[in-house]
Amino acid sequence: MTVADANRIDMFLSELAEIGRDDRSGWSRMAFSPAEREAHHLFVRWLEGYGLETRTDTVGNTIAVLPGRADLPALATGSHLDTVYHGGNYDGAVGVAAAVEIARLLAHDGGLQSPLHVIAFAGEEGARFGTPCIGSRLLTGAFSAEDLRVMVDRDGVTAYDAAAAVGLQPGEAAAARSGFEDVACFVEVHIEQGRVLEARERPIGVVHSIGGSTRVELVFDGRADHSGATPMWLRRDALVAASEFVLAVERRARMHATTVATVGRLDVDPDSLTTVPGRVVLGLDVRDIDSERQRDLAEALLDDAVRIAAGRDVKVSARRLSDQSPVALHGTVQSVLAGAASRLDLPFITMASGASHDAAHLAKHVPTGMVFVPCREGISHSPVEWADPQHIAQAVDLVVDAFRAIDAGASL
Amino acid sequence: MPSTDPESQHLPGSLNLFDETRLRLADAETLQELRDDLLRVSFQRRDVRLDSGVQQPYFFDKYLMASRPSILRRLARFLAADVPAGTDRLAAPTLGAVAFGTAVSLETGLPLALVRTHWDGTRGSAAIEGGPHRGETVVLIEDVVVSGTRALHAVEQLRSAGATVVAVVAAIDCERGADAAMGGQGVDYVPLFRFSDFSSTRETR
Repeated sequence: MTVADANRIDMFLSELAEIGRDDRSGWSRMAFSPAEREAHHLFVRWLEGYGLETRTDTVGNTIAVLPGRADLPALATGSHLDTVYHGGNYDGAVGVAAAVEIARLLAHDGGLQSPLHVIAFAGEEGARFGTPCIGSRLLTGAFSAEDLRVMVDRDGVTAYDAAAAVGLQPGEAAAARSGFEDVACFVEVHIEQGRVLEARERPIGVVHSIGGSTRVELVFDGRADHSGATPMWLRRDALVAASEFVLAVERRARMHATTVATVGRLDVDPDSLTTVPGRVVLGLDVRDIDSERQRDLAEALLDDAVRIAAGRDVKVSARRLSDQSPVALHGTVQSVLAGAASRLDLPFITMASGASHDAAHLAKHVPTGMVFVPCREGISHSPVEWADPQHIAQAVDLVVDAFRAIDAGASL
Repeated sequence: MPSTDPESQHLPGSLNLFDETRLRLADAETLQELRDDLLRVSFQRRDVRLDSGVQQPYFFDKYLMASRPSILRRLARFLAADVPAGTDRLAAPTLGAVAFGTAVSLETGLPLALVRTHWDGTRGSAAIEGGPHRGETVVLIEDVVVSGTRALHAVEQLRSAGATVVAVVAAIDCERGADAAMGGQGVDYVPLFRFSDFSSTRETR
């Protein structure tokens, strides 16, 4: 049986690297941009000659089908080709490169009983429109054309208009919808985007859950005063209140092994060396694989904010920016992937995904699994993002082995 | 006194910080997510012959539920809500339901007794462990109930030890007649999910 070729994977990624380069740094292959479309065309070109039938749906997901020898539901794999602003060439692309190689290997060995679907999803990154996984959510019916009309990028362009401008038919979004009745299983290969696999020195992570997130914006309103003329006892310093809050976030998040909570944005007004900060707007991101803990922690932090503000005579307000529940992936798919890793003698760990992925949305409709490969120093969403093609090749062999096992009757 | 900023109230997603619930999901939504997670994590489609002799084309792997805290804790919270007021003690049959019983015990604060499903009378062991006392009002916690045979065996053991067993609270009922069997023994039977709750999903089709 044919095994994965790391050089081919590397070549695909090198060719992709020519698309959507950003003059300032890295890659900006944004959702529903010409560069994203160009990347999808490259994906189609790479599949030429393997006997797959390729089509792009009305909202830009590209789906290639390798026919099966029997009338069975398909096995599916894939990821996305868009990036964040000034992102890297591996987030998403690795899963598409892997999917192309999976298709090549299976086609070369005469295909399977089941058809194979190879998918490049459109618009996975939330960077441009503030909403991630647009293509996969249109595909599963979680989003409609109306949702595209309300998503706006930083230049005021709606996702609807952006999609239309690159030749897609967002008005016909409903036509892209699939109940996935013809798909038995979906597996996404992706870079880990963290440092766990490197730390554990394992080339493979089998994902058991995809974390959820609750995001809240808090505003602390105090009083801007002269930093020399205002004694400490007269101050209502919004930044000191916000700082106390940031420390509360760290303290509470440390209490659970699966929780992470971050204040990654803090706007101080008037942001002057000689003025007591009058107003702070901060962004809180609470993530967990436990749906209730995620919300309970966010609730506790809102109580902290009220308490801290009261103690400092500062006003506080909050608004929810987004709220996504974690998703447990299918245990059966996880077992088949772990079985394949053992057969191939690939050291692996099972792990949660802190980041969200198309797989989280597919999992609501079809038995779904995810395979992580390490990325150098855990760096992602950065131009220096890199994953070893050998690791990607190992992930390809793993998924091919798992698909063969399912094709031979492993139950899902 | 702090006050919420009236100017920001009209922004999308604005939260009233003095509401009891601001970000927590409603129970109905949590329950549906739990149902979907249970299905993805534990549902196995293959022919199995269960302890009771019943053959089924599927089963729910209770160990895969018990091994995931994110699932077991939510289950425990909902099961705890079904334990009637006035219960003195919980009980759980070995082996599968022990983790479930422990989780509900932690959630409610009620003490737990473990009922040996296959007790061989070995010296030093008891049919019921954990020091139950005669006259206690007991609720049995079960994991996945098929025919209800194991649960009823445990109920019988608890009753012969002098307990008043008022209810069996279970995670999943497979709708294989356990309802009638429990009714026949005079215990309230309260499953959190029934198999038909899962029947709209593609996994069980």
